[in-house]
Amino acid sequence: MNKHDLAPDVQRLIHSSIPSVEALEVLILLVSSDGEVWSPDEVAAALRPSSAAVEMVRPYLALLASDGLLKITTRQDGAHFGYAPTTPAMAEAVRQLVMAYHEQPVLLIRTVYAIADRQKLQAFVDAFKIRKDP
Amino acid sequence: MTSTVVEFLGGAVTLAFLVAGAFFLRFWRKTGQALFRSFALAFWLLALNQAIVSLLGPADERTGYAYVLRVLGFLLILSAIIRANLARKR
Repeated sequence: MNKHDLAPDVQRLIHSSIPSVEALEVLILLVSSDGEVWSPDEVAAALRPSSAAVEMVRPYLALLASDGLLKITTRQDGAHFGYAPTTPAMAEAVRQLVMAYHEQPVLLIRTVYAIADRQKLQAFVDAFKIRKDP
Repeated sequence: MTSTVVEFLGGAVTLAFLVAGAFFLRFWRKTGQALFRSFALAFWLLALNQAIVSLLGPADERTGYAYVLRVLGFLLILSAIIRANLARKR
């Protein structure tokens, strides 16, 4: 591993579950709250003023939950989300991600942008495919 | 006047093709997708075609052959699209 690159597991995690820096902030917040559950409104309020709107937070929470990083608890006032990785490998990748967030924030944010960029280019390539991947 | 405008536009189009090719080369290096490499090469063939046409001028009888480069460029793009589709089915 090049010291100018993040670990492959962390890169895979970013590729699958972290489409933007805001999504990264959401995940870091939930991980550092140590299993506590949050409503989308609470997450948006806690991230203010950097990430703000709850409409923006909601899809990230849904994505992270569908990728098995968050657990959804339904309460009377709606769905709440708490950090609960489904596999030990996932937990390890997140641990490394949090470490990178504290120790190499510039590299991490650059990587998030670079991967998001690559996904946009991939969308261009996919536009030429007659049948889309399932 | 008209021929000056044609020459000017010929140069502008050549440069635009070269720049487009350079962008696709960068996308190829970023993603490793063969489609981008083919696009880069195709745009440079179009640039070469335009440059030759502009340099020889419409009166030169060899000018027509330069358009073979344009055909090759489009065939390159077409084959890259077909390959991208076939690669996924395998």
